[in-house]
Amino acid sequence: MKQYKKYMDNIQVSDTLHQRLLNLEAPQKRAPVWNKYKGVAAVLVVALLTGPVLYATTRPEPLLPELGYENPEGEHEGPGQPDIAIVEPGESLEPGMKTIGGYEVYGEDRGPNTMVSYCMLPYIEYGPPSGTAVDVSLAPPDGGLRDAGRDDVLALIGNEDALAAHLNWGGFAFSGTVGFEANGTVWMMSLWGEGADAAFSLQLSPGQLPPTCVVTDEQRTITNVWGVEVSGVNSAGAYGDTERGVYMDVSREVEFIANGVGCRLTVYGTQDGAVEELVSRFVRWAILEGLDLSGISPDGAKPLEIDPNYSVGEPNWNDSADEYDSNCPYCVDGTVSRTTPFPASGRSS
Amino acid sequence: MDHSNRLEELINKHEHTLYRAALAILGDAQEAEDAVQDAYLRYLEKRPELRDEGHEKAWLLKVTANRCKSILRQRKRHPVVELLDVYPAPDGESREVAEAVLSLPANQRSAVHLFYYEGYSSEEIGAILGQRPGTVRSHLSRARESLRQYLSEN
Repeated sequence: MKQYKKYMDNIQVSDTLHQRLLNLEAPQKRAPVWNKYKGVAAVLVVALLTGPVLYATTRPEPLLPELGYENPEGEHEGPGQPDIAIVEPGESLEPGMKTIGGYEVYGEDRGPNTMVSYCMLPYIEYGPPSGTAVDVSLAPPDGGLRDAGRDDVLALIGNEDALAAHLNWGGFAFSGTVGFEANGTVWMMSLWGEGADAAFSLQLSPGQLPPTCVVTDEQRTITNVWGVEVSGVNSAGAYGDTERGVYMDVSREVEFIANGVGCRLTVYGTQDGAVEELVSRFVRWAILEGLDLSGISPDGAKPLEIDPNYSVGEPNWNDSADEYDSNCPYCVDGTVSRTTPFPASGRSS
Repeated sequence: MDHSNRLEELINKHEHTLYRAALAILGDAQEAEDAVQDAYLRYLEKRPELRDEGHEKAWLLKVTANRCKSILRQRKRHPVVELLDVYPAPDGESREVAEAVLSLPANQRSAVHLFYYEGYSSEEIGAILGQRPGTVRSHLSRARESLRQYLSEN
């Protein structure tokens, strides 16, 4: 690898970048984006779903420890995410962001050297419901309305493997509707997904939160997830289907805008941890990978292009959510088994 | 020493290190510049207590690597790596090896760079990249195999 060293030694920071770095100033603290939405929200209702009946419900049971979902209250960092700098406890930052654990995604080869990606799931704070539903009708814009289905979900997510591997929507049946502007762009997409143990309602709009019938004059509970403000509500109703004998009384709802798409997701299930995991998986995907409404048109969803270079396990990073690693010399709590620090100077000049 | 003087010292000491690592991970000069800038901004924002030069370098590398990960995740498609056009190799042999390394997947490239160029152990690389040491060794092993194959074919 001498030749690689020779190549890299040749590379220097440009004068322009050097000056830019010298002129850096500490970033100012931002006011919460949610302030923009304080007060009366859009007073609109769109009856886009039929069939499922939604009920009010009481506060669900606390997290069941046997599910293995860690309660991050009191945790200053996510499970096993050592940082090598001493920072103020209680800070939620990258690295060391609060998490509810993670999940593994395997490459195609399941042999001893199989590629494994470990994806961290963000912790989201859920607060009490704070709105009042108002019954108002809204006519869709001039672009019309059509049914939505699995093809639209695939176009939105951008990757078929991700449905099962990342979102845990494998085996889900999808339905819904999409409304369009006169120029053919999506105005609002409303999806219903239903699996054996969970179901969800997902509404999406470009550039803003989807219209809603809920009027609120209180600030909702906000969690900053990778720089995106996610509002979370506990107890967003229950879902039941008497014909199939299904009743899911645990729910969580989140709202956020990420990568130019406004999202409102409500997940229903029977276990707090499982419901919160589904929410976090979607939030993670929407923020880190993005959702794509551009492939959805009045004529249908654009078929996915197969990228021969993409696999579920690459290039997603192997984000480790290990237990605390006692070999890490710079972990916050100072429990260090090594005394030799990183070399004061590496091979680079 | 106040933080702005401290920042200048850190820039002068570690900017090339961070930039080279970001280039190795991202394969794109513009994105690498952004990642390095974000790392120093993070330093200004967090003002961590860094015990010594080794700790500073490792902290900055860790933040740079995390920023590179975010950039990689947001990419919809693999970019065509044209780094060798922006930074031509000094000779044919080093070009060949650089091309081989830059053709590896990002997670293998980063392990190779930190191991062979920066001289870190797999445990240290794991702490920087937020990976298990075993995972790092696996990346290195696969990278060596891929490099061997690439260089024998080319």
